[in-house]
Amino acid sequence: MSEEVKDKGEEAIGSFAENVEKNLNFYFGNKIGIVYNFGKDIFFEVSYENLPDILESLKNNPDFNFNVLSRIKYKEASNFLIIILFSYEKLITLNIKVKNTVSFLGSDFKSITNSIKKVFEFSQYYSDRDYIKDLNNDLVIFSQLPETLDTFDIYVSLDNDVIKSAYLCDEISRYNSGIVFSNKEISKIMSMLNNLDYKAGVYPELCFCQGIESLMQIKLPKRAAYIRMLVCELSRIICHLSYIVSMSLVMGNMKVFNYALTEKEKILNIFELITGSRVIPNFIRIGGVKKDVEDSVLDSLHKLIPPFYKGIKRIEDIFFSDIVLLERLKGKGIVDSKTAKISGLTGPNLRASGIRFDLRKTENYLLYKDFSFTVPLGRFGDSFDRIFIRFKEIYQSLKITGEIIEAMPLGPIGKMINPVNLELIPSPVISTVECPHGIFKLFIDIKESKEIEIIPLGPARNDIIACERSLVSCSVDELLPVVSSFGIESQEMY
Amino acid sequence: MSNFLIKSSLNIYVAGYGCCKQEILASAGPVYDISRFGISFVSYPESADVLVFQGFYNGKGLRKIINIYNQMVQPKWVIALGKCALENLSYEGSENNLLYEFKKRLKVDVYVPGCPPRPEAFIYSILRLIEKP
Repeated sequence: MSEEVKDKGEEAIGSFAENVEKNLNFYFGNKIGIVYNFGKDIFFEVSYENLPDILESLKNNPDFNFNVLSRIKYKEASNFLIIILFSYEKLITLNIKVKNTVSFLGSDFKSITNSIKKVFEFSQYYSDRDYIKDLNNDLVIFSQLPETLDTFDIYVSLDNDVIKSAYLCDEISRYNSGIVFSNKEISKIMSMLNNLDYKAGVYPELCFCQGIESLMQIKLPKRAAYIRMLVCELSRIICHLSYIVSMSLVMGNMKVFNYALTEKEKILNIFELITGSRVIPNFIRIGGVKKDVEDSVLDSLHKLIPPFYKGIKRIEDIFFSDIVLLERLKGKGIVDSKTAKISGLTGPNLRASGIRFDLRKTENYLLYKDFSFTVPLGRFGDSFDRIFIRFKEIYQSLKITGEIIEAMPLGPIGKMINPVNLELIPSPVISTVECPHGIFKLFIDIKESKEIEIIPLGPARNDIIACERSLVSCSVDELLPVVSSFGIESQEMY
Repeated sequence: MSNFLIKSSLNIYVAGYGCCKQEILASAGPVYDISRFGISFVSYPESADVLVFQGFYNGKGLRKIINIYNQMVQPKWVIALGKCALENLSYEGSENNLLYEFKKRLKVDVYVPGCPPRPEAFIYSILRLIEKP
């Protein structure tokens, strides 16, 4: 009975996407290019002159109702813009590529963001904001040793002890992905993808391989899908544990730091046995995985789960029994559900604000529908909830790994596909994945010369926006815990 | 003699961010326990003896690190860690070859290859630094 209900739900969402596709062609006609539909991601091209009218009708027309601006990305090397809109009612993402009719450099790029600003208020965060440095320089905190605070400088303007406005300047961590990821062959790109997420390197690989598989219409063997899920959940646990490690460093709780690192090493040992590496796995291939998992490894992992569960529970008890620490976390840096929605937050930071949205439940990629797990929610959206949710997600991931090991099927681990001789159709592909920090998206452009260009779109940019807004009217003592509780990872930012 | 005393309790400043930093942090934990060699991590360049140079950089980040190096007190050592630092594979912006200039300006004492090098490799590099005359 429940399966029928699920199927109906999927059909409804599928028809939503088709309706949007039809409406786009009906309303805009010749103004837009070919409309591509990748499940819940819709993609089309627009020229710069038609952009403001189209954006306004996309927001205000009840047939579309795209009221969240989740990202603007400017690609300097090939001179185009990507604008991503999202609708929470229909759960559909709209990707718009603005073609290079004019040069966006300098003043022209600012004029584009000004024209978008009339429709979407939050577009101001994506324009050039370096001038704020001179306005907010009452207190400057440069990047420093603990993990979450090493990628940006914080410029703050103060009224006595209270923060009036804050600016997270990420100029140290801006890099030009155009040099690394543009116009290269598939085999070269696949070896570099791990660096896009240095805490959970499996997810960019998974995202890329899923995109190419959907283009080539390859169906995964069941065992390969299960092994992929196993590796993904293990790296989710590792990522959340390293978040707790860095959080304990910031709060000065060295007991938690030591316990969390020992637990992390236990999982890393198993992860190394499966993939062959501790941090950069390079494990997922197009059409399957690199190598099979031995039964002895699965047995040892299965035996490890109950003591590991107890270890995490012990860490949680120590962390939350400290009254001084709770005073510094509770009610500080609040992101309410409305701003969380508008700023385009995803992942655990969104769920901490009380909005249930997880791609593993809504989109059913891989075979997550085979397992029973819940999506934990926070209540207030403060720093305490953001840490609390990570602990709860570790328990859920442990539950999923246990179920995966018990139901692991026999069979092949993938099709032998040589990435050098792939016959790909030249077209754009968009694929999304629920990574530990939020929704990770790759825009893959396949050209006629078989070369590939990749644009990574991670969740960290939206985290920065929400963080800056939540810092207003905090006191200075709360600044570092609030900033590091967001878990911003700047490698995905550009 | 003074070098010997300093080397028996080294203070390390880790600049940059990335995958290598995770493994350095793991070496500070109870499993690898780097502190048994008298080594501790600091966040002030004035009190640091060793600068660890690792991770992804653009032009501005590199200039910052040269600033940090100039603030450090003599005697001081530099360790270059990981593929990004060794092979000029860092993500550079508009200004090219800053990494090359960085290597010209100061002397790198120990190179540690790997992507990322394991915690044992990092500990071994520091032990080599201590043994060095």
